Amino acid sequence: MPTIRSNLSIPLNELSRIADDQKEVDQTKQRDSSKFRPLCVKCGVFGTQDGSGYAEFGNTRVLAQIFGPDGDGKWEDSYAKITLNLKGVEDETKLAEYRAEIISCISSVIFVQKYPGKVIDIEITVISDDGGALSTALTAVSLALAHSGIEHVGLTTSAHVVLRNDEYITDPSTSESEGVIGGVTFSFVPNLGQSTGINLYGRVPIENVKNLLEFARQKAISLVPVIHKAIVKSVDEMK
Amino acid sequence: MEVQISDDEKLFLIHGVESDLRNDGRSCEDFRPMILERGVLSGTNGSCRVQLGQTTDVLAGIKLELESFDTIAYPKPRQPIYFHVDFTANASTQFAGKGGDQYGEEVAAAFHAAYSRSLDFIPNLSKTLVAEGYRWKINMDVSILQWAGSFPDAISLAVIGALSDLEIPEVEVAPDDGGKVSVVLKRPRHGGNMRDEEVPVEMWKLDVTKCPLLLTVSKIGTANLVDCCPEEESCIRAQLLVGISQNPEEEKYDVTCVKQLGGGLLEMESVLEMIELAQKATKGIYEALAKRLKTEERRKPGHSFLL
Repeated sequence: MPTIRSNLSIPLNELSRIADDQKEVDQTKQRDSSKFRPLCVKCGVFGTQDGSGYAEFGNTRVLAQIFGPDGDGKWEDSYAKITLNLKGVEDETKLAEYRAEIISCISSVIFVQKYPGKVIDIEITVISDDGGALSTALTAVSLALAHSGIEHVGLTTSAHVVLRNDEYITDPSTSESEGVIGGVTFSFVPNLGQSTGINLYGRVPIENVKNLLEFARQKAISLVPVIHKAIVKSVDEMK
Repeated sequence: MEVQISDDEKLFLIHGVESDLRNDGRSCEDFRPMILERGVLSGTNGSCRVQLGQTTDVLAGIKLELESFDTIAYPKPRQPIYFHVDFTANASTQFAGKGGDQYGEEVAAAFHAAYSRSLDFIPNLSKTLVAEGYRWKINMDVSILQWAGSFPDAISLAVIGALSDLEIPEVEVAPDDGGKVSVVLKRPRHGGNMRDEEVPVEMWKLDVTKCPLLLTVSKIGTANLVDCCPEEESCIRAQLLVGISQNPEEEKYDVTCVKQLGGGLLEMESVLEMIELAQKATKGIYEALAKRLKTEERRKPGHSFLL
């Protein structure tokens, strides 16, 4: 039987090395609460095919792929249909929550009217989840969207922050988000300055909501150059 | 529900809401008339039916289940309320067959998120943990019978109604062989020679005064609206689902869930304005709800609302 070689091309030296046994270590002690975990973003993961993105925040790793726009022979409306296949999330409630949020975010940025009768199929695989899977997935999808060439309003960046006592913590891992009051995953389009997705959870006093959202927005803004760089790099590689 | 309205009608509606006047005469912050009745299903441990504007109709029922769980796998107390939302095909043809399943899951997930800290805001909910390894699981099943806009609002009212109607049996826990316990229903005896089955089981109720309300706030034109009807829902630019729990003694509000759903982009200022509107609306609904729950006459058991 012939061996099928995978064309997955994430060079291993580009992945930041975090041993899995490091998970339990309390990283807030080493890490400033306003800094992200070590991250790696890549636009265009599969060499031969358009529309893939990869994002890694600490131990949370997500791969996104976009297929289409293609006609499926059934969809005939004047706009494109967006379908989502989310893998690697075991908890059914979480799955439904993420699915609704991701679909809502993507459908607000893609110009669906430009692709009548087409289907855009998005496949997201959560390879490992150590907190902030939703914001990592949204970042990966945004990169995949940029790589796919589908017309959309602009780049989306997203950040996950939590509130613990009076302290705001950026991008916490699972162990760091224990005992928090609440948190938010915030994603927005920097060139419009408008949000595409908000997912706030926990029990946040109403007077803290504004500051929490504003903090999340600042953190999402700080990710913009990193994502720009990843996209520029993929363009260079194409040449 | 599908509505077909022309662009001109939409424009009329949008201009109307921007000057705080909706087609049915309400202002942007007004709700449609609500009907809430409890004890509507005799086969459940607690039930509630909510009608919003005579057309959105939601039925919530609770089934209790004594669940045994592994104390090593779950050392901390967990939230015992489980939601399941079911859209009937009667509500809209798009829910025929399995059409509403995914949507129902998503709405149920939003309620799970909003109630994830229920042990904090329902003070006596921790009593559902009857013994180590045994707890009452509260299965909340919600059916959408008719749909004409803002069903999350109607569901959240029905959920609070059903939780306030819920009667949980008191139990006696006695140690048993092999380190386990036996859980027996508690029947208070007041003398006499009654047979065991004839003595009613002692019941207790949950304190629902701080349960979160999940409201939809919609952006139409430049206006923020609560409780949209189907015509208005076809003009929505973006929508937020806001869960707010009120602490009635201290007049404090906690946000338990905010979700931007259904696509659309929002400015930061708009988001804050919409949350503020939700807070305002929550206050009014809490008052109305508390009044209704106090004054409602109990139904005769065994009668369904259909009769």
